[in-house]
Parts: sequence; C-alpha cells; structure tokens
Amino acid sequence: MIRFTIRRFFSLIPTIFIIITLAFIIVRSAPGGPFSGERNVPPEILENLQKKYHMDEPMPMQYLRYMGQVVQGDLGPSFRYKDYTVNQLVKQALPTSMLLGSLALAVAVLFGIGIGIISALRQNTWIDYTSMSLAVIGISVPLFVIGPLLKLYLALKHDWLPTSGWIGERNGWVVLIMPVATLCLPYLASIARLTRASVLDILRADFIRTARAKGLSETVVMLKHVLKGAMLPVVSYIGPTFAMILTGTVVVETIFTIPGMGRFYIQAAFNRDYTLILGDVIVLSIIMLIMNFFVDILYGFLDPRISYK
Amino acid sequence: MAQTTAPKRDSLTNEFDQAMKPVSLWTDAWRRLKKNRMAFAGLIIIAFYFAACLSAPILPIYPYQEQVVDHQNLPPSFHSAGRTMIATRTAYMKQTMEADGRTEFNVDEKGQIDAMAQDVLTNPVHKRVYILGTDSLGRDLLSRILYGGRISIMIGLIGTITAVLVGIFLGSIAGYVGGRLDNIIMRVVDIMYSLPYMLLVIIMMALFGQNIFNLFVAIALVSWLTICRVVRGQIMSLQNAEFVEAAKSMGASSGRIIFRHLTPNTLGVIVVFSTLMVPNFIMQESFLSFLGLGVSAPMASWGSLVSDGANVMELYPWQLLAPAITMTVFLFAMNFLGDGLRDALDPQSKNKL
Repeated sequence: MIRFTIRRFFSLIPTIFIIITLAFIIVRSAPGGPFSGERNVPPEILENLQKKYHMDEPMPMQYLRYMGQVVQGDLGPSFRYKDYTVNQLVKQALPTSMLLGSLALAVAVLFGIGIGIISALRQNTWIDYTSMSLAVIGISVPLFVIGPLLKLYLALKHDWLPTSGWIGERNGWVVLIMPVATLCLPYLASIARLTRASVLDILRADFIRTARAKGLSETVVMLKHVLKGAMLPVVSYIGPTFAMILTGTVVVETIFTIPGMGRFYIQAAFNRDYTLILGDVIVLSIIMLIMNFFVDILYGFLDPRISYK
Repeated sequence: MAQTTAPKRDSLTNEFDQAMKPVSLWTDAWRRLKKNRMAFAGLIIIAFYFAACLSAPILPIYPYQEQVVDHQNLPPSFHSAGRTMIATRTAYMKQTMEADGRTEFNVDEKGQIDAMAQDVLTNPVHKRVYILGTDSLGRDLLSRILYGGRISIMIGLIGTITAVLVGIFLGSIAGYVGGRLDNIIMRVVDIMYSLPYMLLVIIMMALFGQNIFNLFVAIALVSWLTICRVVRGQIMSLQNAEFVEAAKSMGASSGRIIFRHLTPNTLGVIVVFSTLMVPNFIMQESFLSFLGLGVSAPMASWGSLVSDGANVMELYPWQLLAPAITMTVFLFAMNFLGDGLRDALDPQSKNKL
C-alpha cells in the first residue's frame, strides 16, 4: 500500500510535465503576442520589451528557461498586469476559487449521497420518483442557465440574496449561497443517481443476505456493509468531478462576478498573457491531479478486493 | 445475427406464458423502448426538434440575422409587432409621465404615439408576429432559437460521430492487436484523461479564434477517450469467442475480423454511449458560447442566446427564458432517451417486458 502510494505519487510528475509542455505549445503556437495589441510601439521599444521578457530567444531556450523557473516555484512576471508576478495574482485569487469549489463539492457529496441512499431504501415510492426526476433535471440544466435564473428570481425579483460580490464585501456569508448552489447542483444530481444505483446493486448482493442471516442489526448492515461497498463508484466519480467543478467555477465566477481564478483565465488567454495562462493551467491541473491521487488511495481503503501491488 | 439460423419452434413462450417470436436485438430493444413512456416521450420530443430545426429555412419565420430597429426588445406576443410596439412604448412613456408627476402625455409624447400609429398602418414590417419576442437588436427570437438549434444539434451530432468513429477504430485495434500498440494507445488515453480538458479547450478557443471549425476540433479532440476504452474492453473479451475462431479458420483477414465480426457485437454499448454523449457536446458548446468563445455573431447557438439573454434578464427576462427552456427540454429528452436505451439494450432483459 505504501509502496503503491509512493509510486502513484511520483507518476504525477511526468503528467504535470506533459500538461505544462502541451499548454506551452498551444499558447505559443497561437497567432498574436502579448505586445501586439498595444498602440504602435516603435520597433526599438518592442525589441527591448521582448528582450526583457526573454522573447527574443529561440523557442526551445524559452521553454527550458520557463521550465527551470516553474521547477523552482516561480511562475514568472505577468505580461499584462505589469506590476504583479503570476505568483501574486494566483495567491490572491486561488483561495476564493478553492473555497467556492470545495464548498460546492462538499454540499454535492453530502446531499447527493443522502438523497441517493434515501431513494434506494424507499425504492419505487414517491420519494424515490420525485428525487430522481429532480436529479434528471439537475443533470439536464446547464450551470450557466441555473445561475442566471437563480439570480433573476432570488436576487432581482425578490431581493432575498445579493446579486454578486464576495465575502468581505458588503454582504458577508450570504453571498456564498447562490454560487455554491449553482455550482453543486449538476454534481449533486449525478452523485444522487450514482449512489441510488450502487446501493440498490449492493442490497441484492449475497454478502448482505449473509449479514442479515447472521442476525446483524439493520443499522450495522447498512453502515458497515452496504454503505462501505456502495461508496466505491461514488468515490471514483468525485475525482473527475472536482476537475469539472474547477472548470465550472470559471463560469460561476463570471455570472456572479467573483474575484477568483476564473476572472483571469479567459482574459489572460485573450490578452496573450503567456505566463498568466500557463500559471493558471499549472495551478488548476496540480489541484486536479492531487484530487485524483487521493481518490485512488481512498479506493484501497474502501474495497478490500483492490490491492495495490 | 444468430436468430436467423435458429430453428423455428411453434410454441415459444417467456416466463409470463406469452407467445414470443425469435426477435433480433433491435426489434426487441425497440419494443421495450416503446414500453418506457418517458424514453418514448423523449424520442418524440427529439424528433420534433430535429424536424423544426431542419426545416427552419422553409418555415414561415423571419431571417435570424435581420434587424428591425423599431422592434427592439419586444415581449413575446401573438399580436402583430406594431401593436406590441405601441403598447410597450406607451407603457414606458406612462412610467416617465408618472415619474414626472404629470397625469397626461405632453405634446412631444402624443406626437410620438401618433407617428408610431401612422407608421404601423403603412409599413408592412409591423405586421410581423414574434411569438417569442425579439432580442436587443430587433431580431426574431424564435428564428434565432431555431437556427441556434441547428448549430447546437449539429455540433452534438458531428462531435458524437467523430468520437464514435475514432473511438471504435483505435479501441478495436488496441483490443485486437494488443501488445505494444495497445500499450501505446492506452497510455495516450490515460494522459489525455488526466488533462484539464475544458480548461485547455477554453484556451484554444481564445487563442485560435472563434469559428465553428476550431470549436469542433477542440470538442472532438478528447471526446473519443471513453468509447475507445469501452470498445477495447469489449473486443478483448470477445476475442476468443467461437465465431472469431471460425472466421479465422476460414482465412478472414484481421481487418475483416475486427470490423465485420467484432465491432458489430459492441454496437449496443456504443449506441447507449452516443445518446448520452450528444447532450454532453451540446452542453460543452453552449458552455463555450456562454463564455463568449463559441459561434460568432450574427450566428447563434443555444449557449450564446442564453448568454446574451443573461445580460439583459432584469429588463427583458424572455430573452433568457426562451432559449434556456428550449435547450433544457432538449437535454432533458436526450437524457431520458439515453437512459431508456440503456435499459432497452441491456442484454439481461432480453425478451422481457
């Protein structure tokens, strides 16, 4: 187990390298550059600018230089926000996005599993039918439809919640409700469906009949046998979900004007702010890879049949 | 299929003592799909959408890119545009009037209303009817939604078809040939899986410009991964079946065995995956369009319409609601059909109700 964990951890490193390289190639092969937007810059100044950012060097050299910096944890200076380094910008924005993302994930997992279990135990009752119909709605309605609709009804029509903003501004914690609700809904729905299906599956398994035949109490059967087994597909869904939630934050941050990573993400790509785009990609990918890593480890604890050798 | 060679028996019954004929996979699946009311409703809704979007050029609707300046932001109505226009403008003037504390229109406002009434009588353009209202440039929302649907559905279909073709091709080769080739293909798939795909697509669209072709390439790029894995797994498990042995002993080439014998046996899984993929693609395209990275004006897709509508939802909520509801209903139907097909094609439920 420990050996597997270590090996799995080190396999993250080449993946990160591939992601950075790929992003570097995509970003650099695009037409235009960070300085092409500005008003006619005299050629001498342009040359100096390019020299300052080492853009006069051949591409492989730039790539190696950038990689060297990244390995040391330095994401370079931003091309657009001239007084900031990418590290500073990320440091400002990342906590916001992480808070939004992890809250949404927590809500989705807690409520999704809860609803899924209840629907499975009350299979084919109205509770089951209502919650599963709601789940299909949750899956079918895109984030960027839910967000504006919630805003239209809860903030504009009824004035119950603030339309936008973030903690620390005027409104305090209530600003979190709408973005988190928007972001978690599709994943909550998927997790509920997944949980229901897998609990139903496990309830029919032989080992559950054995456990009941042994005279174990229903609580013990549910908690120790059913739930533990049923969580497996759910756990494997959480890894990729976190990645999707990270992408979703880009949209939700746009809708609710939240000062997170999403704000830079698209702008940086339009501005050809090379270092900032790459910085964003690197930070988000690392978070995603680490999440997947933990999911893999958790797997081993949940299912005794999986042994990592 | 095997059924064609099965000996014909007179009294073939299932466990409910109902007479049954030997049926092919598809007849059986179709029968069960018809029994599933939600899935069948989904199928009908999708057929309706297809018909409406395909026939958009011949339907009696106004061109989706035509702007009528007088008809900006008209609410949905079954009355003629002229009438709605006068009603909206008068209501607006009443508001300003009350805000000013007046009880009557002033000369200027009366003049405007008269001029509008005159214009409505003479200009045939005011006879138009906008069932779903108009957008901020005076374009017919119904027409834009229909044409937007063409783009969205087309991207869903083309994306799925490419994904299925590439996925089947690579998956079956990896599964059948095995060894080093299999290893290479599967490592590529693994690495692509771990990429933050949508994040890279967003960057690609922002960098390389927004046209349908780029959008399509970006979306199709990684869509084949899951299909590839599934097909590979299926092929590997089928590889040692008797019918493959038979084909081999008759001297069939590897290509023939893969594409004539093995892949048809994986079709059920692929059909289910595809129906669940179409809404996914539509959602991704709309997602990009919402961020301003999809189709460019005057063309529309459902995502770009929702995005435009979201900007003005306080004043003109129908511009958000109409495309949002249209799109949601379609995705809803698609998901139900996918679920229904999954149940219908499940081999364990063969010949059951």
